Amino acid sequence: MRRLTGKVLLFSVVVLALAYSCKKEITPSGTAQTLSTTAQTLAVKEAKAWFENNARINKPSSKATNAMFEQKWNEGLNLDWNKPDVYGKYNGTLVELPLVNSSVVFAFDRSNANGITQKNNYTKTSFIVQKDSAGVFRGWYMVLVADTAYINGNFDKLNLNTYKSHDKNFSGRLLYYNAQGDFLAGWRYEKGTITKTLSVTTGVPAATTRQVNSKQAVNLYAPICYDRPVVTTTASCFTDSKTNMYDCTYTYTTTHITECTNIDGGGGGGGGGGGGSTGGSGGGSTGNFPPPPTPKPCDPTAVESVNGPRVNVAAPGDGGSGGGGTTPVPCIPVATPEDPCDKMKKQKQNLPSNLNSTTSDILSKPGTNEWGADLRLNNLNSNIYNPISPTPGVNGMWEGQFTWDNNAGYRIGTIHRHFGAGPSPDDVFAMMADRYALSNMGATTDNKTFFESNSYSIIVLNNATYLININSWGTVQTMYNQYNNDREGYGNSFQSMASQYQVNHDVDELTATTYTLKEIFGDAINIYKAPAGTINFVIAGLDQNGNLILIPCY
Amino acid sequence: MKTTIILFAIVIKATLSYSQIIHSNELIKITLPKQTTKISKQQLNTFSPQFNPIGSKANYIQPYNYQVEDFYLGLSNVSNGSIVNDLERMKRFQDDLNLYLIKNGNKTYRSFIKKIGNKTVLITHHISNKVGYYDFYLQNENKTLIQKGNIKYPEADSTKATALLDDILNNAQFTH
Repeated sequence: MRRLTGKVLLFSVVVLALAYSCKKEITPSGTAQTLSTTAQTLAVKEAKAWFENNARINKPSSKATNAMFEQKWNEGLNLDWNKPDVYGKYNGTLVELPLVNSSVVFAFDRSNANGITQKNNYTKTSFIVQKDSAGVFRGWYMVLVADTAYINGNFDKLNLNTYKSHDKNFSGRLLYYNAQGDFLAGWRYEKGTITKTLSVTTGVPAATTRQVNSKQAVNLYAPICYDRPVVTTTASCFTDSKTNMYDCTYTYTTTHITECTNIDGGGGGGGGGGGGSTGGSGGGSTGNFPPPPTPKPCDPTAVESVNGPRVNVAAPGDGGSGGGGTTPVPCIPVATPEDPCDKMKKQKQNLPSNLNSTTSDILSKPGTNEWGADLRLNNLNSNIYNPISPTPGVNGMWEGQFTWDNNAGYRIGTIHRHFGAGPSPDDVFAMMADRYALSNMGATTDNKTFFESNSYSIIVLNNATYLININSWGTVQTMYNQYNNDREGYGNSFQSMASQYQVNHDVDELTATTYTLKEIFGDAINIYKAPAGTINFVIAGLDQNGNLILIPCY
Repeated sequence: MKTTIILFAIVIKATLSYSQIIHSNELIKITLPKQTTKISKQQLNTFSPQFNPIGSKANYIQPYNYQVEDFYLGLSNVSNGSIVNDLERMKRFQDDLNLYLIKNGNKTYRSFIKKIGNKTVLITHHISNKVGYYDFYLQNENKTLIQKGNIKYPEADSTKATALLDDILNNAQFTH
């Protein structure tokens, strides 16, 4: 009976979904609508939460060879959540996000083998998060590659083109990619009008990705003879205190695109495969870029029952839901963050056996100079640590040295002293810096995954011990890029916020800093606190009212 | 007639000269410089564009925000908390919090506690990205009240900023 009821419900949902999709075709709303400030704030909050959760499912290693953006979740492609453009469109809410400065994407045509002409100024990339009227989220990258004739030396013209509206004279290519970097749809624009529909060339790999050092990049590309290869490049860079980028690692992806006669008719932007729902609004002259093809509805019965919510997966080149007769694709379960208690218990088991004596040693050092120690695993197959040797900080602050090899050991954690304040953003970002170091030294995916799952930082004080680890590397990476844009400004903000919180609430230093850190990073990090000299950690979190609470794990 | 106009102008000028903002409540009274204007929260965001990772949440905002020429002056509510009234402890905390400057090669941070009449003050100062920052925790004679405040100024105006700080600390009067 329960199974029958479930099938009836499922059937009803499918019918309603189809009915709804048909209704959408009749009343598309391609004109952007202004939302209230409250609605905008809520939309950004929801979009960010959705993005952060999906970042975890969008980086499967199996996608590595066919994923334009696979690496970016961890190492480069970061959205600037401080500059969202929020509006209503196509019966939903749209949040359009630029990339942060240090996350650069550029693309260029390479239709001949005579060499690559880099045209990063001709390219603009943004990420769009859509919440439709049914509450379903989806997101995609929008890459604009403008024609040289259109730019004509005025690079500000690209700023006239957003998903919300575009320049009536825009000429170039509009490309959509899903979060994994799979090509979704593309159009050729000439003077604001769609002239061709772009699709991925069949019979060849959809994309090839190569990661190279920037100094070697230009020479690595062998001639490619496909119809219309579009090379998209992302740069993951470090940023110095003056916001200059350096040590960039570029990822080049070539998507082989064939320009096809527009089969949609009427100049409409139907999308790859003819998504019917967009036909009415897609014409370039309207000033609206068409939406990407609507993903097929997923079928929860197509996979084994897994706890947690499920998401719809956009099928590359899918013609959209308008046809009605499409075969539902399996749902992919959304990866849920690891339970902080489980993670803490696992972490405790993997701590050095002599951690308490190390803590005592560090706390016994006189003066106001921080002491600390690198915690290096002897190998990645056991829980054996190399001998721990505390060292003094430089100018008061301890940093240690990251190593990741058989000789020096694998620095999976650090321990260092604070005198009054709890963990700081610097302590969180130090782990991210180590993660970057792993990438720069060419570590394997397994090594990176191991590091992300097991790295930690311990901060010891006379009156408490803290352990922090990163729960959402994608989120922290985005923040890391902000941090690199202005490290002193970031530190100044943290200092200012913690100080103000302390004065406003007359709380101790640890409460002020822990609260502030947790509010900045949210669930992207875990903060554990234990009595001094012990590892009896409890979770430090914020309750629904924003109050700092300590949650024991049993 | 001419004399009348001159007298009128003098009266007006004198009136304007004395139209100073007095920051006062039941616990403290501070006469602010005559160039002082109040600034709204919106203006505050413009005036202080430094990175703010979580926006303007109430927990972190100073309730009183002023502009003195090119300087920003913020004042908190007076606190009678026992923790914040331990200035030595507050100094250790501030010294720890500001270690990030050293990490970034910035050696401008200074902190000290000094007496100003019957008051005591903890002052921290540093310069970052050509902006000077003064934070102060002014304590009453009985060591029961703290007025926290801060000044941000263009680095080139350090002399005027120090004068402003001294002026505020000197004329602040705790009423309890």
